[in-house]
Amino acid sequence: MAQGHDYPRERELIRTFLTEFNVQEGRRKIFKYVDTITKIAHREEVSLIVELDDLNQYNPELCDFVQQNARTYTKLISDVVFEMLPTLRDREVPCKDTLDVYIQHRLIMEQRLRQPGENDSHNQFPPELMRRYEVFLRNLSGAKSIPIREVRAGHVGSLLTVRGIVTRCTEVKPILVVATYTCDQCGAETYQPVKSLSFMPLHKCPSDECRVNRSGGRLTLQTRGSKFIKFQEIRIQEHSDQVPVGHIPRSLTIYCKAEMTRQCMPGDHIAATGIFLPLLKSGFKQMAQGLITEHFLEAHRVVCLTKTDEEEQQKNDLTDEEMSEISGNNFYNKLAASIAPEIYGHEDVKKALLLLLIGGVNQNQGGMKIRGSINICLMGDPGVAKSQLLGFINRVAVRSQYTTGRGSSGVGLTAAVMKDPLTGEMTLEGGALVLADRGVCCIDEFDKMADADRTAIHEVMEQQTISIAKAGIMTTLNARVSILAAANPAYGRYNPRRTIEQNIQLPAALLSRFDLLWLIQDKPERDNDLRLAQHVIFVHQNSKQPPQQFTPIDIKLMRRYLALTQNIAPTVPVELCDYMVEAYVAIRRDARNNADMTFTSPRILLGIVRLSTALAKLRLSEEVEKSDIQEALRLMEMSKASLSQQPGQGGRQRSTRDRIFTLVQELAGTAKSVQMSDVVDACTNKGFKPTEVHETIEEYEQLNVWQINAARTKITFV
Amino acid sequence: MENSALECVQSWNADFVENNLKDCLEKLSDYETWQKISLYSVTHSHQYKEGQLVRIQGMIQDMHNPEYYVSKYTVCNKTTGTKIVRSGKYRDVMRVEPGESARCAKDGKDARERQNLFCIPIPALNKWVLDIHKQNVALPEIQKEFGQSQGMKRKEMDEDDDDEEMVCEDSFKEAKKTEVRIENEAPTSSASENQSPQNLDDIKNFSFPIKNVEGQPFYLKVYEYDQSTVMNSMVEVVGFLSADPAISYVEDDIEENRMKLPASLIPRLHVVCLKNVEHCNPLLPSFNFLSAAALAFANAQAAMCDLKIIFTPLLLGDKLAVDFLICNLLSKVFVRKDVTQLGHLSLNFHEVPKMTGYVEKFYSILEQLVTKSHYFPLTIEGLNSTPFVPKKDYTCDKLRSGLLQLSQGTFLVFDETKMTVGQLLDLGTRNVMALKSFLERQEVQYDFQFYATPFQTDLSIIIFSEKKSLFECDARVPLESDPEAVKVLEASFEAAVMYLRNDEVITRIRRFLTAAQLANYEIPEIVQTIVQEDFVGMRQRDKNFTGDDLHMMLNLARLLTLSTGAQTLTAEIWKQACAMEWARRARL
Repeated sequence: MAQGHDYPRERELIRTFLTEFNVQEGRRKIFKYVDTITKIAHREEVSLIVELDDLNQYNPELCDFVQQNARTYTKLISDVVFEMLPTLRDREVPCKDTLDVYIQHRLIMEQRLRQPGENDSHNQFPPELMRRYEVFLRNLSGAKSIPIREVRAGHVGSLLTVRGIVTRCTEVKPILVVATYTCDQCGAETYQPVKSLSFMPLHKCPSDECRVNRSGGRLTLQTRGSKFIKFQEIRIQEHSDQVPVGHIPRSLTIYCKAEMTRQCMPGDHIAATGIFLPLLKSGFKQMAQGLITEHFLEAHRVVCLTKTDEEEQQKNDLTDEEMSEISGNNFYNKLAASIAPEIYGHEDVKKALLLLLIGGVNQNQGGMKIRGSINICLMGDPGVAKSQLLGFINRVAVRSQYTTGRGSSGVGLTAAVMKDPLTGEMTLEGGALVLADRGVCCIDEFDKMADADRTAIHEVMEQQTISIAKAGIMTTLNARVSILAAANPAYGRYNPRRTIEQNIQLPAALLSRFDLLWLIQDKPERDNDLRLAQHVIFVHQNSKQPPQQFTPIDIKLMRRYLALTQNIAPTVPVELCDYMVEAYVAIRRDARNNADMTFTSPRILLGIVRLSTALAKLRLSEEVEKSDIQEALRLMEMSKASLSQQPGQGGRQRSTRDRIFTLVQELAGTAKSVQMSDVVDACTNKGFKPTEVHETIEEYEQLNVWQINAARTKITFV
Repeated sequence: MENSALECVQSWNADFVENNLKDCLEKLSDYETWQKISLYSVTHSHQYKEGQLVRIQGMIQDMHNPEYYVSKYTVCNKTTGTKIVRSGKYRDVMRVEPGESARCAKDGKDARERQNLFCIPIPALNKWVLDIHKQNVALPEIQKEFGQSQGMKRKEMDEDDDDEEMVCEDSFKEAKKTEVRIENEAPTSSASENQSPQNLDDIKNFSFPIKNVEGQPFYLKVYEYDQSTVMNSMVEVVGFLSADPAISYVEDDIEENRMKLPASLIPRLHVVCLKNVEHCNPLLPSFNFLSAAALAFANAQAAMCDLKIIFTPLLLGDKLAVDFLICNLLSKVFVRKDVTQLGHLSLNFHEVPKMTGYVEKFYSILEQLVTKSHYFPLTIEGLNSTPFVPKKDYTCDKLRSGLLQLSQGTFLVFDETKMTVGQLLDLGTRNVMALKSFLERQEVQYDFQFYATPFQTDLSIIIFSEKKSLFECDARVPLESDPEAVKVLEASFEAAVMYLRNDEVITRIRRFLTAAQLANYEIPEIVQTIVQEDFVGMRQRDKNFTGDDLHMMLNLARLLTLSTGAQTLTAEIWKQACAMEWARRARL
């Protein structure tokens, strides 16, 4: 206990805080603590929660003290509340249980028997016995949780917040707070407050009568007169991401009392606020305990965490500096390149994966559910780093599951009915898809999945739910997942002359549920090969990744930035709707005209919306811009192009210009001239870069195929 | 006075070390001093004294929660009234003599943290290593004044069953008695899977990745702990032995420790100095490793020659297979970054001769050469009954070990010729998945029930099978047998055994293998360009040739370089590595 603490003064401070603290709400002032204490006085409330936020506002210094030395101050607050109770009681309170009756009787007895001013230390009622409430502290809302690994001896006595996964919960049992004994000789009651988990029962009656007469009265424990509260012991273990590589997760014991019990179950993620305390032993054990002390956390608040809480927490952590690191110039490319930096190239695939991590916006209006999560299927010849990409996404995503199509049966993917080892009850255990709710489910070897399991995926991919009818349990579970699948072509290599269905041997119904399908191919090309060789050799030579033009963004930072994007739900402004619709119509038209190996369904339009909202989210913008839609269309186009690539088609440069020219021709139709802006838009939608477009336009201008007006806004065919 | 005490390592005690920690650590960094401390040996366990400084070698198998101990306490002599402050470091039990009472600060200000690691003997250690250790064990000297200098009568480990009981209360006495009874019983056959361990045999079954190994597990109490000692790292530790039966009583009441075994079964070691060691080859000192390794490396030619003489007839005269085997013997993961791991080379030899016990015999030769190896027949029963992946058992708060929890550089030989047709159960399927993902990623997902955590593991794996193995290895080599060699196979094994009788030969090989595994390696600029050009060329010829194949070839080139005793890649060896890989591919 720190020196120079003026407890009587602080007691007064607390009293004023409790009586005077108020929140302005409309015209009225709400005295929240007084209200609660009044309820406690009338036995309508059993716990008083003191928020340190309020205390901090009232007196920061006091708040600091409370945080450092929480147990003492909890007691102090409890004392103050006890003194306040009679003043706030405005009506007679009916006795609710035996203990209330006992307390009442005891008070009456005391008034009758005792002379005022008499001070009998043995028979005084311990304060715990007369109080029917508990005081709990709530940590500052800005307080960060401490990793269990970092809870040290220095934290003893202070209030701290930890997070973890519950590995064990005991049953809720009553714990003795005050033991009451009666003497078989004189009938006097004796009270013994119990502060630890075990106690040594009293035997000899300490009352004056017995002592003076030496009658040797024996005490008997009286269950009904003693005070018990609910007690539960839980054990939490570190989250896997807090454990350094190569270490075993640590755990911490939490003692929950009264209203803090039954807040969680094994397997729950919780945040617990409490006081870190050494465990006191009594009697012989105290002497023998020697050099080792056990510590525990006395719970003051236990909250089951949903994913959103955690994300909120992470959002707060992003500093300006980190923000500027991410949101610099060209940050879209930089973020995309930071996905699996050790995998070479594949920029567009990485961009698509980045958007998958962000996801679009879920629409749920009037019972119509439109998913926002983006599904991507990566196809490709064996050995093109598909699995590595999946592995990386699995690590970056805040919540994700990695499974293989072959390894997971329908149960492994959807849900299973299990027998709880502790209680023997039948419980529903989520499979990979359920566990990845609001996250990413990476499914490797998607093509090798059994037919029966695919049916489950159909539902998940569009409805985002899983329906279960097993062992008498019928339910629908949420599975709001983004699916990232990897598949190998059916006959070893992808044959661009066949349709996708033939290549992957998956039904069109399933394939159309993917927003983007990428075919990753690995083609020999001198420059690329050389760079790849240099890269590989560098790794072998220096045992590390080669220095890159940019430093990849740290996974943790990326994860936090992604969490930040989740709070935004951008909308598509009305004026852009037409543009989007036109683009979709154009895609449909193309699909009809060209014998396309892919298929174009209305799902594509939704896909465009999802991708462009994801892009807007990436910019942390509330509104989708035209550039977002263009980028979304470009990605779509690129994904389609990856599927229809003809092997051995040389001279890509030329063909690009040809294609742009044809596009412009089409655009012009019968008209002689066409707007420059239309051309650029149309071309970017097709996946051409603006520079390429301008180069083409200039080239053809020099060839005198068309002319461009002075303002460069209009192209006229000669 | 100080200096002479410092010299005499054997007589250091807890107080002395605490007061002169810096000097002591400096002294310990000296190889001579380090060796002077006797290596703990099970056979002489009864000769060790409470509080004696011992040295052990082991592997970290589990990490428990840190514990808090009282760093200072005041002892008051009731008759004279004098007060002395005593330290709680390097101790489990308070030192209180009759007529004294102890007091420690109530608010826990003097509480300090110490780490609790569970250390088991290095698993899969081969017999020859243990034999050398046994020869080297200096018997602990019996020092008379030692026990007295502790100031309190300490009980010796082996007589802990009667006389300490007078200090305990009844319940404890009973507990103690039952425990003693268990100890006296003949080792019970392995307890059922779900029971938490009760005696030493159980704990071995529970915590040792490989069963039926002798050796003493320890609880290490580490005072200055940096995070560099991770799971499964090999460590050499100097510390004070503590097996005071009173500890069990002290710990008994602490939740965390309730499941711990009494100190008479698993002694506690209060660590003064903890070192991570990279290898456990007793023929190469861990100090001054570089110069010793250079020496061993100079003998590379001779050692390689020996290896080829031994293994060529055993692999049926298949020279390519021998080359790959040697590469496997030298392999070690040297880079880990995100999802890339480089340096490992798991092998699958198939088309093995149909000779009974071929793989066993082959292994018996191999185990004489490498420090750590284990033979596992891949049978349906074996897969269904042996857990591969460590799993956290929350009932006793311990990690149940699995076959794949081995220290870095252990050789695992799987014999798939033993496989029969049958049904894999739950455990079997998990094991197969675990082995598959291990071969792919060189990491094992330890099962913490609520989630799995990956642990980096570096093992060299060889699978022998009749046809292509169930498991995808880095390199699959079908053996091309020379009919002549097959005929004399039996004789070849005998010859190999005879050949290894030569002390000089075997020592040379053993030293070389360890030294080469840990050697540094580089690719000079000029060779880099050659490799790049070659790669581009290969890509032009065969578009299926990917970056991963280049990794494979560069890895082979590295191992070949090391096998010649060199540390820089040359164009010649690069060509050789390519030829080797192409020859292998041609066989598939």
